[in-house]
Amino acid sequence: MSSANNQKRHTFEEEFQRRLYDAEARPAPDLWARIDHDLTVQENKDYKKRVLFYRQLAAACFVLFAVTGALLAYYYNGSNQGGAQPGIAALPATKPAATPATVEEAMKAYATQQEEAAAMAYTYPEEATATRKAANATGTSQNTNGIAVESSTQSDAPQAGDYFNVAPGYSPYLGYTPMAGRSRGYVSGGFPGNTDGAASGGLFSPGNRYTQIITWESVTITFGNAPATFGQPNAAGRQSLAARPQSFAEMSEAQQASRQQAQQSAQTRTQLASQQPKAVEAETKANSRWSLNLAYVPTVFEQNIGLPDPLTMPQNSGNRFSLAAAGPSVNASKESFQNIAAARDEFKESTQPAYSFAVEAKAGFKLKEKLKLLTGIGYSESRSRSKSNFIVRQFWVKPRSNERYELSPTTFFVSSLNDGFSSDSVSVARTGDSFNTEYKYRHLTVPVGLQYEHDINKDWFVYAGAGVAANFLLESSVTTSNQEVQSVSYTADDTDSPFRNVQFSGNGSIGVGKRISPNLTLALGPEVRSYFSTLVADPDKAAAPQGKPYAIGMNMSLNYQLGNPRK
Amino acid sequence: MKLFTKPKSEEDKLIEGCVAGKRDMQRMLYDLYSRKMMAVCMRYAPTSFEAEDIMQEGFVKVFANIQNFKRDCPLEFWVRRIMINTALKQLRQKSLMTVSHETEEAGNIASTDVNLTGYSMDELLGMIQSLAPRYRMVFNLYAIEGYNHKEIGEMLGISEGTSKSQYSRARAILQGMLERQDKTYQEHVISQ
Repeated sequence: MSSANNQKRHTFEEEFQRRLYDAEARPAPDLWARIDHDLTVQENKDYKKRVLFYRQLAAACFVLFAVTGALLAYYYNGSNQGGAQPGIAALPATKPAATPATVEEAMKAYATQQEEAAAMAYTYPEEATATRKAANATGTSQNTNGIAVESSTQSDAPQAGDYFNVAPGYSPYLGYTPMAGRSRGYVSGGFPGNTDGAASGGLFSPGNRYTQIITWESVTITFGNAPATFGQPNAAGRQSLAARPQSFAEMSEAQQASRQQAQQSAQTRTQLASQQPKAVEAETKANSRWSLNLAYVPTVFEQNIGLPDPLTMPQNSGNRFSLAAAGPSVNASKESFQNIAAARDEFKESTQPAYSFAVEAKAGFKLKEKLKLLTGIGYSESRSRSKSNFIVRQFWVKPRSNERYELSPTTFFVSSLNDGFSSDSVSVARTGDSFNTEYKYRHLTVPVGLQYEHDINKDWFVYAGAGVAANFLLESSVTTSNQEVQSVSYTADDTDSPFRNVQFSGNGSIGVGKRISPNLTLALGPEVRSYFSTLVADPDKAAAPQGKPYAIGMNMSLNYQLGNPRK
Repeated sequence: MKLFTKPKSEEDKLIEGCVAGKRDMQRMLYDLYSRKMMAVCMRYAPTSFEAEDIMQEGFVKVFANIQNFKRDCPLEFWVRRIMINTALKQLRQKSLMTVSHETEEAGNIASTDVNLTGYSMDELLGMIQSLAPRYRMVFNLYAIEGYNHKEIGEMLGISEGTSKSQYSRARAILQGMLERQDKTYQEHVISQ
């Protein structure tokens, strides 16, 4: 900053610098208050930004869960549809007709199709009539505008200038009907059934004027008993088009052959339809994204609860504790005061994690190739233990007789979980023999998490997982090895329980996994679980300092992949 | 790997407390530097009210950015630099720093022996505050803070020559003020 080579500095500058560089001036007395206010405003802005961030985070989580739910719902629905209506999938898709660009193109395309259908209709007039009847009976193909189709084609054929509506299915005159919705057509000129040219087989022979304006989205050809498709043209029809029967005998044989072929085709289709559900089911199973996961996590648990500092003991209860803290002139209270400090130190030193564990059964759903969503249900048992030489003795005084009676001695830990000490007098006494105390919390857990897996080689992979869990307290207990000291146990229904009934936790885990079989994998890795709130429901009221508990353990999980094994 | 860790100084504790946003630590830092910084601000501002505004904004900046303090210089110097920058910014916002690209060279400034012993700090501050803003800036930065004209040019966005020119004018004005003060004083003494 300041240059060492300030050239041409004279006495003038040196003198001013000497006088003013380290000069001091008294700021206004309220200046700090103004700065303090500005800092508070700034902190509030930062707080608002953080709140906004957390809101956005919550919204993002909500969206994530909503999308995940939607994906799951979509997947379920997709699977159900595929299994429930296999026949639809089995049938070949109807070829959509290309939309004609011009009227001429439409007429040309229509004429080409009409030629083929008319030829087939001509070849088998009786069968076409039977088909029409059957179609009318089932209602699949209708001519709804009063045009009679039951009579002979000669008399029933539409005349020039007739408008008609056609429904999806077979039309005896058009041979093609739009599949989606009704289409309207206009016929002008002759049709095969009512012209001489048609009778002689010259459908589009010179002199037969034939135009039609029609719109459609998709057309299908129906012929005989079985619906034909564009992709599978009726062989008999083609054959008949190539070689027209010359006699009734030939016509009869051809018709019989056609019927047999149609029956065979129907049987084949029925077989295919019956096989389809199995095929779909097998395919669904083969591509399953689901897996089952069983996890066992032995942990060391830190409940993160201390004992109160004697100087910060509650002063409002008016009991001897308060007196002891306020004025150590009373010898008994002074002793209690010292015992509290000693008990606190002892608790801090002797408390250690005990064996804890969690088991979880989860269903996994593969969101992506390497990402899996896991959720299920679990059970956790968290323990901690300490050794103590001190007990809390509380006394009540009977109002009339002024007789003192003692409550059951308790551990200092239990007494300090609330702002109790509401008895008339309290003392912390040293016992002859030290005793063990065990703290146990049993939770029912509902975990939700994401797991990312990355292959190292064919048999091994690494994983990283994170998630949250809702923990429902089943039971909490503080048991002692000293018979004189009262053990306590609370269930979720106990209203006097100082512990939180529901709390949330977050967990993270990394580790390695091995594929034992194509469907079965075993994963192993450390896991950290941290609770978002204290074990005690109202930590502000508790005399003891409360922290958020956590557990560190080793996650061992078995994962069974449903459906197709990994290739 | 460090085998020995340097014990934390009071300044380190103060900085860490301010980084943690502890208000009592912030107050301690304010108490430590407020008098010196007030004098700095008064040299750059035309009035004490504006000096307080500069100082207020400066300290808020100090507390907001103290986590960026790299400890490569004394904390006081860093705080002082923030105050100066805040003063420059405020004067720039008030359009008092109209840049005039003067090409006039400063010329050789005569070496004058000045003895400021007889002047109180208020008198000296009053003289500096009476300078035009751009002269005041250049004079403060060159004569008192010790920057050279190149650095001042970069800070104020002017050329080095302009800085020299403005400084020579500021110096001439101040010398004139001092001479007038001396003359008045001598006349006063003679008349007595």
